[in-house]
Amino acid sequence: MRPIDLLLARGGRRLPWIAAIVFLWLGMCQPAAAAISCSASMQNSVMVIYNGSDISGALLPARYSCSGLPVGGATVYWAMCTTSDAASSTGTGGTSVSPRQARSPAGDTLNFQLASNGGQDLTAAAITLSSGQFANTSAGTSSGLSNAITVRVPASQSVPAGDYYSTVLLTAQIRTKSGSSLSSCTDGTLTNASVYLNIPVTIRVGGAACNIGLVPMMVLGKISVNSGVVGTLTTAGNQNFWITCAAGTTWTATFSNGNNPLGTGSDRRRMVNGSSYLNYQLSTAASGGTSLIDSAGITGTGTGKPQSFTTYATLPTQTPASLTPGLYTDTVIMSLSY
Amino acid sequence: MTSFLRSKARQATALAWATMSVCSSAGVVTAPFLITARYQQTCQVTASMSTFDFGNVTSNSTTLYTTGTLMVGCDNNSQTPFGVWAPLSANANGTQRRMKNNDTSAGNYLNYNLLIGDSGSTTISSTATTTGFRSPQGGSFTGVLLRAQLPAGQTLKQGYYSDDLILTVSY
Repeated sequence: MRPIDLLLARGGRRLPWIAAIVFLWLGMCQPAAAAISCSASMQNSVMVIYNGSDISGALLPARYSCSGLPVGGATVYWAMCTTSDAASSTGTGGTSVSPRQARSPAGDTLNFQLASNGGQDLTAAAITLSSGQFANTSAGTSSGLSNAITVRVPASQSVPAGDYYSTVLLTAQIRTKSGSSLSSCTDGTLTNASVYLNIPVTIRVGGAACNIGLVPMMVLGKISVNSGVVGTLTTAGNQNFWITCAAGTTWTATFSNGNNPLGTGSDRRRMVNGSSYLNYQLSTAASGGTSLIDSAGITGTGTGKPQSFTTYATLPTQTPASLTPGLYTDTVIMSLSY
Repeated sequence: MTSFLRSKARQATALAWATMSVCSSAGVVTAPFLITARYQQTCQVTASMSTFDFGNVTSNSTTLYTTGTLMVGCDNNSQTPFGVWAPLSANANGTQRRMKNNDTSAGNYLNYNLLIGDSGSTTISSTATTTGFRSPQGGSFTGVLLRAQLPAGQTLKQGYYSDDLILTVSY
């Protein structure tokens, strides 16, 4: 007689009542090492406010994300470089590359130029947009905020008030080098990774002196509970608010109490899930910052260029009366006064 | 030239507006944003075995057993109730679990039962359940004893008998 064998596959981690099963043999189906691939997203709501004075170095925020990176070994440095389409991509607002033009709904045009963070006009191939090093993560992925693209608007253009737009599509390529940084866009090794940058440019002439371009979603993540006590959590400092105010305009950002405040303390704001609440606070730093309650705010002076600031949400240690599983949310309104 | 003149005229309008704007001086723009946190009870399974193996069986005059332990832990440290169940496989006959002989010319099956818990006599549910066990406090793992039982008195034919079991923890 041959052996009689009864196989047991194990059940994986799962949500209640959802039949998601992990079979042991999944481990044999891993694909071969993947090629590097990268993507980037620009924020099309971030604008430049132009009052006739020269503007240069107006940073357009972009998030990039790469995967398929080498795991372990020496640090890998990267550079993102323009390709030949930089010499021909005029954008939607005009018909020339030097200068590029943004166009108002009425059909008027305003000259501008895209430049690297180093100030080089993006009108030719092999210009370094941005460079850095990949974090040596075990997952082989890297993501972050790229300081790659800036806008320059020459002084003394007389144009009607309004918002002027152009969207410029550029293809960038990633070069990498192991052990040391890249000196130029001919250094290192060209990867097969392309980044398609769909660069939205909005330039305001006249009109309201301040604009809110981008607000973050502040994700505290998964809370931990020990014997009914919720542990503390703070958001990471990489979620920025982006605003633009006209040059010389002073501004103050203040924050509402949200939809479910209770009491008058610094942690009066509450996220809600059904009938369960979690107190949290907003402040200017991960620890030891100013609590952003009542009229306490963040202030600054406009430059015509996008500006950013960070706030932090903190969940203090607390013992809620009830704790319904699920997503807790609150909505706060940021008011930018000028 | 026409274009230039039109442009100049609009510029005059813009300057007038800008002046008014400075007089009223103040304004406010607002934007809502979201704050979120998530509370999720999450349980994990580590099986200390991947196979129930009755070994080489030459006689079925007595009931045979083989055991294994399923380790279950939940990360919320609060004694989460959970259940362990295993749906019937395609080899089952009604509610009777069976292993199939891989020698198709023999074409026969062997009945087996899957028992759960320390008593060793409770038959595992074939439908979803979230009760029966409770994770220990502190996020550590608890062991769930499983016993596969091959009842005596079945006709043995030469071959390699197997069945695929999917164990599921619901909470």
